[in-house]
Amino acid sequence: MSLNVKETVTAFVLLAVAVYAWVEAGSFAEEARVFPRMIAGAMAVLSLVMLARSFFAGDEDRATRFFKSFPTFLLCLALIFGYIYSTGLLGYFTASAIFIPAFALLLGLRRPVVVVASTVCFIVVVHLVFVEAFDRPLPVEFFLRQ
Amino acid sequence: MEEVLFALWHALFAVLSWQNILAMVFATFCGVVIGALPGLSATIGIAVLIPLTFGMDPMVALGMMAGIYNGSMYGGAIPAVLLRIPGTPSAIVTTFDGFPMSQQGKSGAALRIACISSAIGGMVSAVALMTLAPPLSLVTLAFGPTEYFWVAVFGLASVSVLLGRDPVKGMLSATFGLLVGTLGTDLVTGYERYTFGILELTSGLHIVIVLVGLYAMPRVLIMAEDRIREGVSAAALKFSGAKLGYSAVRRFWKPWTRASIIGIIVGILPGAGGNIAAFISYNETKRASKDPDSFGKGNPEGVAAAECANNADNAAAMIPALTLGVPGNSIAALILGGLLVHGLQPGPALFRENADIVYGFMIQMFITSVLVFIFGGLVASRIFAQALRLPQVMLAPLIVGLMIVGVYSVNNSMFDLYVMMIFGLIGYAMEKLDFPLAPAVLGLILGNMAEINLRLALLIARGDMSVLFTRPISQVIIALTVIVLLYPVYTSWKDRRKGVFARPLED
Repeated sequence: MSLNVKETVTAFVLLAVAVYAWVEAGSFAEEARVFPRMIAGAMAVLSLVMLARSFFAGDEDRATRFFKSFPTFLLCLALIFGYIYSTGLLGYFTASAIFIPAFALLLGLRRPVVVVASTVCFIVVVHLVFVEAFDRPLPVEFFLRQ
Repeated sequence: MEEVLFALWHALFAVLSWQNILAMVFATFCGVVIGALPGLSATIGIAVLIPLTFGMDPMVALGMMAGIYNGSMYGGAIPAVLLRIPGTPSAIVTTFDGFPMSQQGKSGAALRIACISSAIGGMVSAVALMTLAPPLSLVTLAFGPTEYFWVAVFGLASVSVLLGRDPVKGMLSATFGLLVGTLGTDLVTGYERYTFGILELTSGLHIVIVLVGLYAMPRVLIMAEDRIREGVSAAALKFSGAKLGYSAVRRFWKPWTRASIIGIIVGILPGAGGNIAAFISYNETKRASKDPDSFGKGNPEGVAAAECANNADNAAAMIPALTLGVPGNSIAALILGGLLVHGLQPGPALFRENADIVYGFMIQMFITSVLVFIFGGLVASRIFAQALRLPQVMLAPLIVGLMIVGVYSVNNSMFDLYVMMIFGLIGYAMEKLDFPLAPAVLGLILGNMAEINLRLALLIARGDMSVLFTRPISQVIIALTVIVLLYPVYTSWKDRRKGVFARPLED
């Protein structure tokens, strides 16, 4: 019997979520707890099935990695977080003007014309569609705040 | 029937307003571009689009969704024919004969066939939606809370079991969606559920935030990991041999008829997507052909069968969505989410109280299919194909920018953006671990319907659980649910006997 690590860890995480959901539902009013407990129960049973299966499935997934490139994944995640954070701090269009080119350049694109043209076109289109045409509110630019 | 025709006639005038026409043209155009870009699909397009439609008239919003839906299904054929890369999962079958045609110098003809076939499939499917949905909605008048509860369970079971590769993972994905759906203040008791004391969570999670996170962010992370820095070269996007005469129409009418029927039937079944329709249609066309050996080597009938079937699935998938609230595929689930965002509840009341909108949507599905025919001309396809020249590392940050603007405009809240990021990471893990996303989305959509009706049924029966199992219609739906749940056991047994393992793919 060999262990399928990815499947086992996933099954344990889901089982933990199900147990938490079941226990937490105990603090709800009686009527409000029925449905969440039904779901948590089903989730627990299914994760146990997955867990049992992972013990017998073998380690066939050893060759397939979860991350294709962990450093790139982290870099991308940091960039997305930075983009979101600076959207609140600097305003949407300023953050976009900084992070879209930075994103592309840090991922290895070395064609400044493509990067600048794509960024400018994107900002103009978003402004025209979201702000001008549909009047959707966006985080205000830092230099326009009162 | 007369009532339906009258409703369609009445809705037609609303559909033909200039705002609607503009929205459909714009969305179909965008849909073709989205479909043409490998890694992007109608699901991502619609998920990102829904927030944009908040302030719009619901009919304009639905027109845009119809345009993206039909446009992207054809768009997927462009890279499938030119590069052997399916732009959408439904276009996988198009590569079988589309790419060999391209290698033989007939890329223009292959795209023209794909375009006409897509348009025909889409139009026939829209007619099926117009004729089948209204009478089906009347059937649901016999449904009470117990039936609606079981319909929700059936929808979840079928999507979980049929859509992914692994039924257990599909069902776990559905339970995750259902659990997320319970988050927030319980409307009956006013009790806060799973809010962790966070004020922003008391009103629950908006479906759009979860959708964008689950569908769009994993694509961005995967695109970034792939680090494809070069777009497709201009030489690879060369078109040739586009002539198609009247003889072609005579040649294809049989595959088109067969594919349309298959696409509609598959579309109505919850859980089965356009890719399955295309596979079945292709196999049936090959089986019926006098020259089956030519399939896979550039037979135009293969392209016609695949493209017509995957577009015939489109509007048909909306039949159970509009009548029962159970979508036929993941894109229909998103459109259903869009309907709910605009305060439109599926079921017979929708046909009665919002007739213009629902019949208008059916007409929009038809018109956007006609637009695919117009846009899919060779000159236009040449333009759309240029989207493939944009490197994926440039495309990824642009998608992030659209995700931010879309999610922020839901509640004007920065908190939502961080929630989207968390769901993005969950979606990424789900993709990597082979959990289908559609059951989670459907769980989120159907959870509320299931819970409200379950509570109502128990309230009426004064807590007697047997009420869930005693009504005849409920028993039929329970039987269907059991059949669906046992289906993988049967196929596994059958495959073991045959030694074959076939895997459907998620749209």
